[in-house]
Amino acid sequence: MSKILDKLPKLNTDFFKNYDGYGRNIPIIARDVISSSIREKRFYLAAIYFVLIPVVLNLFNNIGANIVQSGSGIALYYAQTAVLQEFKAIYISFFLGQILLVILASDLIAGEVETGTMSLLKTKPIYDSEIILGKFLGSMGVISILDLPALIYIYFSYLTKLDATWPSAYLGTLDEIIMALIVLLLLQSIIVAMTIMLSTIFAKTLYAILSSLLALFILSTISSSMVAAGEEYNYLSFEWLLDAIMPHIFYHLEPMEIELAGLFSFIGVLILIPGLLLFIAVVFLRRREAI
Amino acid sequence: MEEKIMNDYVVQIRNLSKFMGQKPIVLDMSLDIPRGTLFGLLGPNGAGKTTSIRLMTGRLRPTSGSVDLLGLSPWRDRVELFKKVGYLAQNPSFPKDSTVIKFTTYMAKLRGFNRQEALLEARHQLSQVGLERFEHSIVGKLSGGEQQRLGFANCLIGSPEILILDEPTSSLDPEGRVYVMELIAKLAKDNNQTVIVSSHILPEIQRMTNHIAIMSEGRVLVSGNMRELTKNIFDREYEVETSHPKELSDILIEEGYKVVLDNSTIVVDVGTRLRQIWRDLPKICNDNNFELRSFTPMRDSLENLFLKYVSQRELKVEHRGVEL
Repeated sequence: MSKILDKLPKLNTDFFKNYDGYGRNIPIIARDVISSSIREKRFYLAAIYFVLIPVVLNLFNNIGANIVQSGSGIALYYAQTAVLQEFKAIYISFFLGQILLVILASDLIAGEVETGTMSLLKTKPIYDSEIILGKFLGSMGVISILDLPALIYIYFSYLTKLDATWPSAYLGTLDEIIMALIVLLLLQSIIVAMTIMLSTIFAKTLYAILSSLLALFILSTISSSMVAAGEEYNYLSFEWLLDAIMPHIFYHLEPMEIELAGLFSFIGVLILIPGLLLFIAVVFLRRREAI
Repeated sequence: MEEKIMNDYVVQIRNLSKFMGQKPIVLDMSLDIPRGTLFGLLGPNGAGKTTSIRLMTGRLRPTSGSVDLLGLSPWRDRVELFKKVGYLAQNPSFPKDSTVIKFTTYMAKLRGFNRQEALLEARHQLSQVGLERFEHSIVGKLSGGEQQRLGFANCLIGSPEILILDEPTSSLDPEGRVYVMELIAKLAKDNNQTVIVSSHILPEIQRMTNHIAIMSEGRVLVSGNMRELTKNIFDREYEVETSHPKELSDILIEEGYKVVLDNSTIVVDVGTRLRQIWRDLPKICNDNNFELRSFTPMRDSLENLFLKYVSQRELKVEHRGVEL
């Protein structure tokens, strides 16, 4: 895998070569996170999960080709809702999807503090925010590598299953898939940013995993209570957020009660939350002393 | 003029203290380290050497006082500082799965080198420390000595103005120690760098450095040029080797010296009669036809200096404890 990454096209202009200001270390650290993560067993464990679950879900999904190919509104609704349900089951539900994200990101800072290798970074001319952002973006890169094949699989398996031709006007086109990936990554980035923050605060991988899972469990419990209490807007639930955003991305679905401006606000908030969590992580890393 | 004086010192520490909870680890430390020196921070275990070095490198925040390293505050200006400083921690840790060249190149990139330059710099520094043969070895499989050399290579990347080395020989075998000591002396000579090195092993400090500070219980007891500091330090106990140890020992006792005869070696406590023993001993041997084979101090001057200050300090603390 690292050989494939090395072969990827790289920006090679003089400006990037000689740039010596803030941020130059972020891609260096991110690249290191990706290349070291893909050598680890847990990456392959996650990869198995992200490939197997869509396959299993697909086996039990019974959308008939005849319904969708009829092109009626209700048929499209069924098809796209089925895809949405798969996304939720794989990436968003409080199950292995979230747990694996926590496990992938938990030792990015804590692991380095525990093994003592954080000292190597802290004794080079690197800003603490470059360390945090590099680790975060590298981690998101790893997650993209995990997400992308599953999304492509879901897309093409549905095309095949529904006897549609690419790009299918019924099920979704490439831009829909890309947008879906971005929204999923934004939602996943909240979990990764929170885990990095807790990893920085506790500086122990086990504590980072336990506290992140506890935080996700608490969020899930509160959001369930909100649903039970009949709350219309459940911003704490990733599933609700996906329900609210995805219909705007799948062109033909009726959106929930939010306007397009609301969609941009949502995405803005989804960017702000990881930003805030990472800022807290930077503050903690800055203040951490080498005892 | 003031600027010139400032420039003559690469490190200026004033009234620096660091407490861990209520416990003082470094207390009211003041120290100046001149540019271009090989500076040894000497002290027994627990003296506060590592904490002082961590304060100098911004790895710890001072409780009070100030550290000025090349005009920068290490805690506040860590990023600027490490463009000019190379640091080797005591027992450094490395990513175990990486190869030597990959790790060193990564560190060179983080030091500011671009992709091509980083590889060249990594190879250059690995050859400086004699690790060029191990380029493709896995870091985790290197021996302790080789890992220490790797730490050196990492700390030398970018030819920093100052090298700060915390107990660089602590985890090494005797051969490794000699290699590292020679390497430090060579680097300082070739690159005209200021090297600050901590150790609790006196002969190592004596061999590696030309300026020292002796620390005990978080305080700097004495600092300065080693030759100046040891100029007037003499040992009380001397070892004498002669052809007639028993006979010479009896005569010295008659003369009023405190003597211990250990097999064929005589240990003489000269007390305050240092000048006199230099006159008496050759005369006695000459008169009695004894062969005087050697007459050497039991400890060297640095050891005496160290004992003088550290034991004085311990006595003071003990005395204060009784008063309390």
